[in-house]
Amino acid sequence: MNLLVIVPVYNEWPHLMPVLTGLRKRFSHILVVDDGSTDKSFLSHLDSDGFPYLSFPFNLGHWNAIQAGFRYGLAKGFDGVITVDGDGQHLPEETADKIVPSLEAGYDVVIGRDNDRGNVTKKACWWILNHLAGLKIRDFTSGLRGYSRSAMETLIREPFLNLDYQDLGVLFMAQKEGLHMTEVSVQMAERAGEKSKVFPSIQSVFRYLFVTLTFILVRRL
Amino acid sequence: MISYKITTTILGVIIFLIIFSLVRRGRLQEKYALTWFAIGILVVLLSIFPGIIDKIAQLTGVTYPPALLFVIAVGVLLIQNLYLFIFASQNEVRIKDLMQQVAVLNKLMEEIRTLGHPKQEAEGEDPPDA
Repeated sequence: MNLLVIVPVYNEWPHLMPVLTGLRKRFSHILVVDDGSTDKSFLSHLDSDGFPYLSFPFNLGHWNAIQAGFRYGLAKGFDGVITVDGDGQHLPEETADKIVPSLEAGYDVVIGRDNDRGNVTKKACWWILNHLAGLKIRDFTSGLRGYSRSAMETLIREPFLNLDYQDLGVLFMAQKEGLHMTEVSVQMAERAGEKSKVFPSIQSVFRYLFVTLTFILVRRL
Repeated sequence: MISYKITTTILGVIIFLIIFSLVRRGRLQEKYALTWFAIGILVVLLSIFPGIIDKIAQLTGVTYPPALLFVIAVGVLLIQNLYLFIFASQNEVRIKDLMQQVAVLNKLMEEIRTLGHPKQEAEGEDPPDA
């Protein structure tokens, strides 16, 4: 299977190079997507090390960076893509050994689940959101995912352009579109950056909860 | 003592002229000007003939006519505002779509360019025709 690994990056490039070199040992096609990072100097490092990249002039959001990667993957004729976070959480060996086989088995969306992530409050929140949405996936926040070619084609269409976050909304709509999804348990490392990029502050948590709750409620009621 | 009608008429005409000049200078596109012209004309009409409000109030059973005026004003502004938000959401999706396509096209274009002129491996050496 001809697979492309997409690494979306937003202002976290100090941790990026080791992640990329690690990935290169297991995957021959890697694409970095710069989601409008303020400091663009790392792009020249990517150039000199031979890592291809896409670059947005301004920040569009994690999910949009991934979608741009889908479009590139489709244009270049890849059979599927795997998204890996740029902060070193996702191990190349785990990605190759756990995500790839499920894609090869014919699943459209494969989610790498981390069993011990998050504290109790976080887990409770996720559990509630998950059950409100009626999702069959337990770890919907994981950024380690595999997508088949038909999933990529579906996920760049209009309703998916409206989404800000890659997680619950995307999976909820993918489930509605009838994509075959599965979850595999993976070992994850500590993230290199101290902070989560989705939740840098308490406001972002509330914003996320509000957006996600609204999303679920308007579609489920 | 001047009639309050003069004050309201002047205000109404000023608002109408502002809208008119914005459209003329291209600051407000014609297609969006439609509702604003309607609002401008309404403002002028109501300021010249404030009695209209009293009539409508009588017909609709509103005992305090000025309240009706506020209800109409708030209603119109609310609809306009909602329209703007819809418009903004729609534009955001379009921008995202375009941005993604531009990023991919840029990359593909660059790949084609380097295919035509392969990068020199030994960059330290002098170019052949220097």
